[in-house]
Amino acid sequence: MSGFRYSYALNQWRQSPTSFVRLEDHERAFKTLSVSGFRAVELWAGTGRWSNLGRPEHLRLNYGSSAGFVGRLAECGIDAVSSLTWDPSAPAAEEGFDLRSTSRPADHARILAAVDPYLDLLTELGCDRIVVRATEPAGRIGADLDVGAVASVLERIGSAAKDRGVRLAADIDCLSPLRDAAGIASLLDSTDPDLVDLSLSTADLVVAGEDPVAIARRHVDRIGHVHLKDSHFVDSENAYLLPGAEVDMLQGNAGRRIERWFFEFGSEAGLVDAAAVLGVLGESDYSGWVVLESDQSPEPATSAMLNAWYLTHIAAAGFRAAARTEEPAR
Amino acid sequence: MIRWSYAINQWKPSFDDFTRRRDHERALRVISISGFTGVELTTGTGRWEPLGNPDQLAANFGSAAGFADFVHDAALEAVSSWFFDPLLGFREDLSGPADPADPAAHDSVVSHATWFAEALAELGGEVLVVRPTASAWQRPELDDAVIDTIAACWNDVGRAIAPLGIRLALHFDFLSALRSHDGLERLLAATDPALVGFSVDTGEFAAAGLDPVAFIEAHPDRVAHVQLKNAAAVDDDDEYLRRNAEHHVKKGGGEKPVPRWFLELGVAAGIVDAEAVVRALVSHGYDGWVTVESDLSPHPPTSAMLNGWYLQHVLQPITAAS
Amino acid sequence: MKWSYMDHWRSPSPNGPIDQWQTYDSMDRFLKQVAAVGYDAIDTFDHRYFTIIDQYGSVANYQEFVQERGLERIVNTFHAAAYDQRNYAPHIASTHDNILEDFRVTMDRWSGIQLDNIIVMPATLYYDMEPVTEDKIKTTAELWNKVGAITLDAGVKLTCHHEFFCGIQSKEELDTFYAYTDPALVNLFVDTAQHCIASVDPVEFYEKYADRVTGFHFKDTRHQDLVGDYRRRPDAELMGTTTPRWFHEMGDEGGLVDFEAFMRAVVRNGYDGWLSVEHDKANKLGGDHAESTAIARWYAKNVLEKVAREEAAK
Repeated sequence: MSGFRYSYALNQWRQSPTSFVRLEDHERAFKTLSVSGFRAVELWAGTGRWSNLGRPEHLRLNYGSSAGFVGRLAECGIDAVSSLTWDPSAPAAEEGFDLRSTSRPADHARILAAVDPYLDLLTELGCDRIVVRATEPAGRIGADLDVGAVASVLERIGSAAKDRGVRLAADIDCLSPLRDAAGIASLLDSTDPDLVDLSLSTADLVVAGEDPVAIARRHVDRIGHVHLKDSHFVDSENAYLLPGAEVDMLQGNAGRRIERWFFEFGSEAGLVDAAAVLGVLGESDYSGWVVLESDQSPEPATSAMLNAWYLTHIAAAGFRAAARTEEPAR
Repeated sequence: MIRWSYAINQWKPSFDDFTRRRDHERALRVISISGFTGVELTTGTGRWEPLGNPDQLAANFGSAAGFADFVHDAALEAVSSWFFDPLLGFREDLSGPADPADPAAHDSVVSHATWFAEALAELGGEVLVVRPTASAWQRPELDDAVIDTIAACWNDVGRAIAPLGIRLALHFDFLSALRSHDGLERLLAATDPALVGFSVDTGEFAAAGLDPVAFIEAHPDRVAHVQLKNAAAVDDDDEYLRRNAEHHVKKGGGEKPVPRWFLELGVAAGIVDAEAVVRALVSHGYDGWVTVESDLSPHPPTSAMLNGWYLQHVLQPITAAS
Repeated sequence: MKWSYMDHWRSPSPNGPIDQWQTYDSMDRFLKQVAAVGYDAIDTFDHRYFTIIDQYGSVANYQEFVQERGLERIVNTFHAAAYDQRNYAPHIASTHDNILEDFRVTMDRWSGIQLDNIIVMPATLYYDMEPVTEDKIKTTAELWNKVGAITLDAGVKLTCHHEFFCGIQSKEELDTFYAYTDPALVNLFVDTAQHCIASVDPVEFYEKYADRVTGFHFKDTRHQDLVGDYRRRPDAELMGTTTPRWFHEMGDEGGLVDFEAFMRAVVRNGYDGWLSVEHDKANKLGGDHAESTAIARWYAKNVLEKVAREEAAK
């Protein structure tokens, strides 16, 4: 059995630009995760002083230093920052709202410059994993994509990361033109396994109409990161091709008006077989992180607690016992 | 002339909510600034129901007049109406549930109704809205003797409160025993038109599969009150007959399930044509309160404000044109 | 050291806030969340009996439902009575027969499972009992001695929980009450927040009566009642002048209860029963019951259990 570890994504706590800003709110989230059995957290990149866990400079300002943040995590019973998710195409105030695309070679140098502060931060945090959104949504850049261009910039980011002791995992989300099995395979075939891993996102695969277990088996040697979350829906109408799919599809503004695609595990309507996915990982040499995620949850604490219960009692019998025997690092 | 009020019930989802003066003040101000001029109260008992009955009003506001001042301070004209369910019972006088189908309980129903009506008169109100009988799951049979007993009870109540200037309006809901065996029409026929009116709750009618406009057209002279709300679904599987339907079906959503039975006016998912209801009322010269209601709303101020928009931009132009 | 969670819960639903008793699904989610953060059991209210019968058929069936989600059992019930001077008031002897019958019925209803305690507020609201005299406390004690015999007969301990707004809440009133009650029949359930609000130091009070204590509500507050809210009409608990929210989960900021000292006292006195966590009305002022329940358990695990180990090693 391989030695993967569990983490939890913090993104669900940030439900609006003004929420999850105060440090006591961070602390309550850390403690909720810790006592639920999760000993690591995943950060996500953001912008602005209210995204104070999402920008290196704001994180250091709020906690004094990266070490200060790690120390605060430890006091709350969180031993590690597992990973950071970063979308190169998301404009940030700190970068002059630069609009970049992984599919445009002309943007690549600026993408490499933009990732640099994050790699510094990850090094300081003792974190060895950056999860990079591979492409913009299909509705924005079209279904015809220059996979070679995307592969090229991912390899260059992966190389820069590797120099810092960080590995890159490509996140192919449910809005990506590469979201299906063929797209995933084409990107992996186009990239150097030494520089680019796959981030397996179970819910995104289900939404894209794929079987996460089959994808995991097919690419098990390339999996470098896992986002374990559930979905109740398949985008069978290809709503991901809508120009504004991030709002129109994922927030229910149009089409089937599904306002919440992603869920914690344990509901009858869930489509992801978490135990089977964990089984594939367990039979492999996978030794990275399995990050539980529940973005779009209206009740973050509840989702984390229910996911913990599900892992303990249904999907991963070792989860709770492992959590209980560890003492927080001090 | 139609006057518009808003039902307070949506602000109290749980027994320990909506107890503080500040909460009441803010709710009344939201109702007022959303374009309504009155508020409808609902029955409650005990110290965590400060607006639930005349004794609690007195305990919290000194007297009914004290509460009237509080309502006026929020820029509302009146308490339009009070919803009274005799089957709830009152801790204030240690009375248990009083069932209008039980002749022995009639004195209790009449005295409690009068208790409410006296306070309502002081509050500038006009209509006592009552739940006429139990739910269908509690009373699956509804023979003529039962209808006559219920009718006699409400005739007595109507007679008792008329001198106070308060009209009686029997309220039909989608869980009511009156839904089966043609109960609504039979009770209508059995009651004295001079003493007993009806409240048309559009959302409840729709959820029961009935057309509120058809009822208004058929019985315009019996309409003494309107509760205007939208509905999301019809209980076409007869789930109202299920034991404890209030809990399992109305609040819990039943087997479908229906996440929320009642919606704001004018929303796309709703099945009530509020414009048609108001046109029907106008065409028959309805003169009284229309209480907009959004019970079971997850966001009470939002519901009141959305309904306020609909009132000002859709419904009041209909009444203004008449 | 085993932790039990006391019942209080609200969560959002499409039709507004609901408690866990709304549907099987809401109960399932409640129990799983409680189990996920390491509570071992739950406490409940015995008036839930009617919902339990409606939805689960029997109390034993409900406990099975609890156990299937990884919790050990139901430890205690709280008997939330509707006190009224006319028919249900411990300081008025003429109402005692009615109260005794209520407990006979209640113990019969819950006989399908083994409970540790039935918890009561032993007096009416303060304003319904004042002036609180020694005679009234003595009458009250006589009642609870009789109730204690009934519950013990059913294998359950009677234990008293003193809300800050009940008729027996000051140090003097408490001392009088425990002097008149039989230690074999009437026990004490220390709610740390309630005593703190009433300006009774929970640690000192516990130490004094440790041999009569059969349980606790570990609960925090940010306020003492310094303005006489305890006798406020018509209500102190939700409508008090001091604050719209008296109760917070332990481990929250700004709390007044010294839980570390309290835990040390619990260990020093050799208490070996269940430890109950409560934070009723934690949803007030935008609070989240689920998160509060996790935070309290985090504090128990990461602070109090360590303090307990230290104290035990002394």
